[in-house]
Amino acid sequence: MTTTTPAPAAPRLRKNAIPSGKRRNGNLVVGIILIGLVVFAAVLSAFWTPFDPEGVFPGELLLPPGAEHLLGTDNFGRDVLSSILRGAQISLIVGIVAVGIAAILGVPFGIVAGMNPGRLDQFMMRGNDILLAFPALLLAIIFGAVFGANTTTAMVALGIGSAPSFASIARSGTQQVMSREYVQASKASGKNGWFVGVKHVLPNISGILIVQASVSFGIAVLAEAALSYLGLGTTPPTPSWGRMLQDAQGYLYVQPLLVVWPGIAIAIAVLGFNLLGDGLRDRLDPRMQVKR
Amino acid sequence: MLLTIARRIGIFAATLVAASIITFLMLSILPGNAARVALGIEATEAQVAAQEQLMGLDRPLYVQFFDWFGHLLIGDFGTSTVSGQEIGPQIGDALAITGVLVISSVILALLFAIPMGILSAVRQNKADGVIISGISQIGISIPGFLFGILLVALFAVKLKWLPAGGWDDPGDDFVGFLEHLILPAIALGSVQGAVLSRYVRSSVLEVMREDFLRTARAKGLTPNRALMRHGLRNAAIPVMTVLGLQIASLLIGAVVIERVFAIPGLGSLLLDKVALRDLPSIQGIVMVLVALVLLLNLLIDIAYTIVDPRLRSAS
Repeated sequence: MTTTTPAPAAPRLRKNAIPSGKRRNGNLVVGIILIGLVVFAAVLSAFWTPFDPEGVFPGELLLPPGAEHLLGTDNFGRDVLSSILRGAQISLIVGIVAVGIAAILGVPFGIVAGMNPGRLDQFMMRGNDILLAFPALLLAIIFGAVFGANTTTAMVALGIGSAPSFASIARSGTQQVMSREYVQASKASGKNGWFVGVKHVLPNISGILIVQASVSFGIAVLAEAALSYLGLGTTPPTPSWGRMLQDAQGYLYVQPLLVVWPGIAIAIAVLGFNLLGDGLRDRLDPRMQVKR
Repeated sequence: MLLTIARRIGIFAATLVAASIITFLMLSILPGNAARVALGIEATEAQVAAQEQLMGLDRPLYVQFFDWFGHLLIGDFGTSTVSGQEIGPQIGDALAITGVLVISSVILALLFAIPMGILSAVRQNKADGVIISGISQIGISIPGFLFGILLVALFAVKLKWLPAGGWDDPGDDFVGFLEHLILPAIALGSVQGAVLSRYVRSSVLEVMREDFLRTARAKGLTPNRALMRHGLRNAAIPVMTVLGLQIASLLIGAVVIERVFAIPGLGSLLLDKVALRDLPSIQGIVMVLVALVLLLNLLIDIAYTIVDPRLRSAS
């Protein structure tokens, strides 16, 4: 629970703490390249795919990779490469919407709590702790049961489920900013809380929020894949990496390569956002400047 | 210290009650839903209304909540509106299986993470240390359910060493039990092991710079002995935090892993009930999962208080 977890030991400067700049940039660069691949696939597939990703070819079932179908075909004769490219769209859309919802709900909540130490903060953070007991994926399963399982339900549930971590991050960032002199000065000069929150707090915590957004994006992509794998996410015929995995698992004995392609796609996307998050953290999060 | 622990338990109880209200509301928010599901799509409005009365769904929400919650407290989860079976015993059986799976995966994750994390910290700039860090980065990026499918493809389909799924009761066939446990436990523990090894690494690196470790070295201990005697206990605290935070995702990860390996645990039960839209059962299972997440967090909190004397008087 947020309030009882001790903060990690404060990083201290050490003499040989020359930041290994190359490795840091390495994380960022590789992360951006991998995400670039996913974005490229999503954009490209909006205009062109080798075959119709939803087109069923009964004469070409479970073909191995070859000249015509570079990654082979699935159990309905659909071209796997086309499905993988188109599947990038749904992953990115779910990520964008879920992170957007989480930030819109969580950030103002966290800032208000951080700016009002005492009773209000305590009360709001208890509420946050309660929501933290509902992991995003569990919330998505519940929403699927109540409202019916589809992409929209999944996005909304993942967004609500990720909001508490945005709130925690925004709150602890706000608390740090509030102790700064310029905030004291601004308050002393009669500026109201709204002004301080928007003009001083928000810009100064944007770094850690961007890091959190990147991390949450990776989690959302992964959760969408898991939900679609379970049959609670994207509904057919829209191609989704998770559902490709589910379909492919039934044909493991016939065409095991079918699980490999969507698997690689998911791993690339998740690795990309993890590396981006790490790279951005080194860059933007002052608490991490001397760590590692 | 006892006061701190008592306070934690109080907060736990209050959070649990609040979480149960949320669970109840989420699953009762659509009026007539459970009754309609029980009767099927063709039921008329009058039939649904009669069924609602029979199931007590026409009572005010708060009355229904206290009825449900009161029975929960004495361990009565009610009966399924779809199958008419008692929900509690089903949850109990499934929970035992999920518990074994989760605990095994935590043990595997720690067995991997502690030596690997320490090794990559001690050999920070050496090739093997860097390789271990790289492996853990990739490990984090391969979701457990995907790793599970790949393990099945390799060890069950290709090599035929282990079963592709299912479950054996340890009392019936212990070897079969282990054979069915090993792949899902690895799949579930893989991401946690990778995440934890990174925290072990940075935590050990942090401790290696501490003054007390330099003192221990000055006293004449070798670097490794100084780390063993004084470093690891201190390094353990942040690692425990992460383990605590990971437990929720482990439990939820188990839901997906159980589906991959067709294990009849709590996750499979939940997904089966979701497919049937058996709302009272879903409500019970969700409540058990949420209570477990909260309980495990509480235990980790108490464990801190015991391990780290500095936290004992913390407000």
